[in-house]
Amino acid sequence: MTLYLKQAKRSGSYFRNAILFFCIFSGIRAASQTVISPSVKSSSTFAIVIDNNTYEAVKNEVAAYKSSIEADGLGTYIVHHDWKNPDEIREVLKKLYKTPKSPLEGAVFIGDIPVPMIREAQYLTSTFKMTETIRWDRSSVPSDRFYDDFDLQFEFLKQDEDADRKNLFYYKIKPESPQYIEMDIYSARIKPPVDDRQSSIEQIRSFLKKAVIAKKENNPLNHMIVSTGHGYNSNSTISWAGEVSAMRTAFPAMFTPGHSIKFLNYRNGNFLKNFLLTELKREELDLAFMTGHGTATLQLLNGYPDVSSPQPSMENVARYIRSKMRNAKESGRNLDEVKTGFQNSLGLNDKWFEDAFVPEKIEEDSIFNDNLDIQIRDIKNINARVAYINSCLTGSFQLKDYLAGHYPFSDGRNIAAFANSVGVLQDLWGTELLGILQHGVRLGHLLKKTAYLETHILGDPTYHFQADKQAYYNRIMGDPKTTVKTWQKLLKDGDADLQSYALTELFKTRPEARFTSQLFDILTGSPYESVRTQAYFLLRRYENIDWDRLIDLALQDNYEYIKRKATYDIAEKGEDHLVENMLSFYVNNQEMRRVIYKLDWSIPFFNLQVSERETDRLLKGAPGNSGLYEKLVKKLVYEKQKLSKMEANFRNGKAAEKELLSDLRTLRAYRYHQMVPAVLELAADNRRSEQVRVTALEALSWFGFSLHRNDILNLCRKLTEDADTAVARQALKTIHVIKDTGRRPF
Amino acid sequence: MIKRLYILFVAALLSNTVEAWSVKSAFAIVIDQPHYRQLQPEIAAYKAILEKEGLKVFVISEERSAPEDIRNQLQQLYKNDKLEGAVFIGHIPVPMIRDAQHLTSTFKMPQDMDWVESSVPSDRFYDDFDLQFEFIKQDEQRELLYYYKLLPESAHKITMDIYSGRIKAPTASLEESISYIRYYLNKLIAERKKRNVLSNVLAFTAEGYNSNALNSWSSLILAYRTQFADMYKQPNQIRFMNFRNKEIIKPVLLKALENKDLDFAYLNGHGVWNEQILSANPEASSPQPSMQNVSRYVRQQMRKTAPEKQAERKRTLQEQLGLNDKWFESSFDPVSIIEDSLHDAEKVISIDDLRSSEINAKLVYLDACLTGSFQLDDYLAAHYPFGKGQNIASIANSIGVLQDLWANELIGLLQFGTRIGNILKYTAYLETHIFGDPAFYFSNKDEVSWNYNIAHNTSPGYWNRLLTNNHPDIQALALRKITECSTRDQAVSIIKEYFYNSQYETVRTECFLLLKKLRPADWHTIIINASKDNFEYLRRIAVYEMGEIGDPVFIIPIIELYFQDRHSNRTVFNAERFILFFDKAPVLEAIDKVTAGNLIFDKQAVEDLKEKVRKESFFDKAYLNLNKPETTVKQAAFAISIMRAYRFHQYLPEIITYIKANIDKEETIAATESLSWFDRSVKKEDIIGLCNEIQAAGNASDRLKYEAKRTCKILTQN
Repeated sequence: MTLYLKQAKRSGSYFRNAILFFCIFSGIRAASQTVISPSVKSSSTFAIVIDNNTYEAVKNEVAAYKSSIEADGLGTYIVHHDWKNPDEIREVLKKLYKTPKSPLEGAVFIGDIPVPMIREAQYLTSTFKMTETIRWDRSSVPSDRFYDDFDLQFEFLKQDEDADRKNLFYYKIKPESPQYIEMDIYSARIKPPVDDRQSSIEQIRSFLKKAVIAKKENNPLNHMIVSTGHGYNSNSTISWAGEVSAMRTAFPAMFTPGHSIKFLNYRNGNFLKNFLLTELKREELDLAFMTGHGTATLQLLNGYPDVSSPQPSMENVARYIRSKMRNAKESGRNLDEVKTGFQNSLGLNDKWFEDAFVPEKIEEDSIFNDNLDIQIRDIKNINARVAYINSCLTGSFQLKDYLAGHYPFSDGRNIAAFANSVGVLQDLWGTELLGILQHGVRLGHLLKKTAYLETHILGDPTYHFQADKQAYYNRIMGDPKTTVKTWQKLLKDGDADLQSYALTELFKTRPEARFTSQLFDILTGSPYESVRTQAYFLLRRYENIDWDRLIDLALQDNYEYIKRKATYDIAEKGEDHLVENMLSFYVNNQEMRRVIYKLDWSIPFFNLQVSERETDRLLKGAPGNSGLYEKLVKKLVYEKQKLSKMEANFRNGKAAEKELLSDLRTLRAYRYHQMVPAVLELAADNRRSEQVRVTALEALSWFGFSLHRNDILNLCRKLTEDADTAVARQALKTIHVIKDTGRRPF
Repeated sequence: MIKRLYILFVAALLSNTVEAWSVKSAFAIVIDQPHYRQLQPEIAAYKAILEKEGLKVFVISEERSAPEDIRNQLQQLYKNDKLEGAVFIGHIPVPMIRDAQHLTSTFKMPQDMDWVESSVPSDRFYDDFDLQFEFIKQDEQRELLYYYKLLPESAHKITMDIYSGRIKAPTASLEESISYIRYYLNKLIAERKKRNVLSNVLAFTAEGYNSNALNSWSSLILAYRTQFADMYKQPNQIRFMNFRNKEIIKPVLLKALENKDLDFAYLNGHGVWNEQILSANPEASSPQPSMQNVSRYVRQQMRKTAPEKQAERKRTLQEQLGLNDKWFESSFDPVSIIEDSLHDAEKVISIDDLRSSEINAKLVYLDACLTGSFQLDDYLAAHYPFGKGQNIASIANSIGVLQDLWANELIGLLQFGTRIGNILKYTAYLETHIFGDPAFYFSNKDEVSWNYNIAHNTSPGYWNRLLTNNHPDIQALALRKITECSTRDQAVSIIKEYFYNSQYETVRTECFLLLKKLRPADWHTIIINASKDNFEYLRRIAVYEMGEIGDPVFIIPIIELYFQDRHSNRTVFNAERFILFFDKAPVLEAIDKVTAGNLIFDKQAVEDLKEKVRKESFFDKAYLNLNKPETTVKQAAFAISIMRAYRFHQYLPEIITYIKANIDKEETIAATESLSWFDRSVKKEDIIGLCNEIQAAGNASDRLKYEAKRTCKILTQN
């Protein structure tokens, strides 16, 4: 408190604000937050939000951290309190954000800060679709969007009952809430991956010291790595090459002498881990962008080696056999039978079975498997200043221990890790705006423009690399009053990602018709992959866009990612006339493994009669295409049977509820447009159970781009007055979710 | 020998060629009389097109002639008439070059093998007038083949004076050849009348090249991103493909090559005279596909084994691979044999595939071994231009080529109306050839004057001005030209500036290659800096150069590169090879020194490398034993022959001692020849000293003296 008063006095005009807050919150003084005001003037501000216990222990370090941020030109509040729930924090931040002269631009949550667990908002994630009947701590999304996107409206459900999870607070999103993310401020967590309080305090203390030192470093972004693990994006090298090209234009300086950018890939060696960890420990490494599968405790890098010659092939088979035999033993199966089965199916003699239970071999296999992935215990002395972990689950900060937390809290110089609290979509645009970091932009500004419900920074969001115009860029990005002219100038003069950033700002204010035309010009004319991609994403936000043109242009684009994204949207639309376009692309671009995978997935979503007709027209009898033709025909026959069964189920008033619910939930991931009429009927049918109708309406909310969109909206409008309030609420929500479809990237 | 020689020169009649005429660059159509007699209208039409483009066209037609006669004619035209290029149509003698393997990218076949195979079919005989040859003989069976050796006093590097191309049909029959060439010329004439801007590019990478390194592939991706920057903008198209994209990529690639909009296709992979190899057995890690690969191998092995040895072979395979009978059962099943054979056929593009396809890519670059073996009656590369589609030309190699060569050097110049011959002129090895019209270009504005400038403009001012152009390949060409037409000091200064500052990886690489020729005082520092470049290809060739030179100053940089670049499989592969060319002790010290300050996660990697270095290899033993009395002549000969491919600088003293001790013996000839490969070695002065000693030695044979002279010339020129 003393500190607060002193600083408040020093801060001159800020004194009044500080007092104001104090007064507001001093109603229940014991329970109120303490807000220490910034000591410097700045066009926007930052807040350090911390729990009282931690604050008491690391007060000096927090003060030093505050000073270091302020020395960088960003006025900083400290807000500490014995936080009882997330709403308390959100309320403070909202108020600081609304301060007219210097609104809040970001916040960091240090220590024991309640974790909002968001439910019924899975469409705000990139792909998370876990059935919410599963345990709540697993089927909810830990998300600080609760704190940094003030437009989202939530309803409190409960605090977790488990003594170990008391910091988890469950919320659901309200039907009338905006149904897309547009963060008002950025945020980050400084939450050590430990169980006990003392370790947490110590780690926070040393992290803050490190963050203060990092602020004083003159460290431009001039060394980076980009890595790709096994099993991502169908292991498509074309996807990878697209990313390499996009990095070439987004980070042109990085490719010149005196800089370094390395592309690591699981194909570089049997154990990418060795190379990757060596890089992450490299003193000079600034940014590591890592893509690959992940869990809360692992970054998955390699599978068994991809080989074709006999001996290495047999080594893979042998490893497989040994693991299967050990599993069989553990589960008490008859080992002779298991062995005979494998010998018959794989054509093996006894050789590979002999050492399955030899301790040395067990140990050897265990080491081999361990080396395929990065384990938590490997993450020590990470010097890459910023790590971007484009993976599932590594940022599961609702847990006591989670992998991403070990990056900033290892003994190295890492300041922040970007990571996800739940599973993420493989095809999301992970490198969006990444290039702005080379201009000295604060990490939080990147997050603010690119986050899904699950995307978080673990570490210091105010960290930035040193660059000539860092103050300028941080000012314009942090200040909500930055003018259109400024963004237009940036669009004209900036490099790829600065242009891309400018587009996102101009979108907010430019008249739709004119900006649509400008975006189309950019999509066809910009030499930069990332600018064209941004143009595509912005164009698809408009309701009245010429979709056919947009899709045509995207499919012709030379950046594989744009083609890939277009195939997602084609699947979302499901219109008959797109089938021809889609199938002809499918036939002519077979090398694009990931796009082909997506199309294989999507083809059944369309009117199968049209698909059959077009398949015959394009492929029947065409030389060299017989394999493709057979594959497609087989798929269509299978899907036809499956869907007719599904449709019959929807229309069957006596269908088993469990099966019905399962089929309806299928539609959340599979966009079977042809099923929509049957589902609409079902949703409208008040003889059906509430759960079935609500599930049906929820499933329909995923059809926001569908050719049946208007039919869905029409029904939902009617149902908002349904006697069943749960149905009415879901109908209202579905309307909002559908209307905001374009505002969600996926 | 010359029965009839015509030099026909027809003035252009069309008024709109006046401006072009003022350019006065010349081109020669060299055609044998039997073809010419049958193809006069087509040749006239082709000639008219070239003239319309501003070329003064000479038709040289002989009933029967030796290569020297053609060469002399071309040389005269070059001196007197500003000849810029030539095309050889029909049955034009094929020079088969010997004693010049150092002018190839990597060919090192012992010359005591079959001459057709161990000589290099090369039109550098016709287009590089600084090279000096001596006629050896005409082939006894194949009358078009003429053997020549490169003389010691010749230039020992390729600097083509003109460009050239071959229009040689893939057949032995004259009648068929005439028909093929007529078809081709008519197609060419029709295609060349169209305006065709380069707007669609394909690059394919096959299996087994450059250690299948993804980062080597990224060098292609990154270089093309700036070399063909405009292709990335709509409506242009650029497409990359590689063997990993589909288990059987062949139909996908053939379909892409059949695309009528496709202008240029770069196809990289292994090759033989009649096949382009695309895929191997599929890469797999899961059990069933792994077993499919193993079963294919097993069946193949069984079929290769003589019936009486099959039982034993089966037993060995079962033991080694841990298999029961399952995979052996279908080894001799006719259905399985056919299936396997079809599977193998799916992994390559064969001549038959090209016959049945319609390849529409206008220009195809086959960066592969042997597909351009034009000394043979039939060869794959010819089936591109002589095939059914719109292809105008292929670029291919007459022998095996180095995997690490830079086939895409200057390739972006295709966009600016550059004749493909003008790109060949600056990039060819002894084995690189154009099959088809070398004067072909993709439309652009000012193509005529642009090509004239490339061929004849020696004004440093002009090329300096072009350095301001923001296209990397125009800059690269300008730097090449500046090297040719400025003083050495001026050139070094400009090129170093671009090497250190250019934003383009291909420009920096070009600078590196130019500096390699110019050898400024700080050349070794430049190599070290190149080994730290972001462009994997530049790092890769920098390591090559370190290995070629063997200066101990490179030890630390190679080790640094090794530990910083382990994810670049090809660079590491090269680094591991080349580090063995240095003394072991300083290398081991360097490993300790470099890794001491580095947080290398897998410490075992350090030990593994040390072990690799420490180990006394088969090679080490061979050289350490070379001068011991118990070493047989055969063992010594083998050790010495290794030196042609492996630059063991540390063992040069042993070789020199050996030669000195055996100066009167036959085997020293090969030993002296092997030293000619050390043209950049840090110890080359010792070799030159030895060669001088041999030339003065009374007991040295004339052949040895000749070899010493030759080695000396190669070493002093480079």
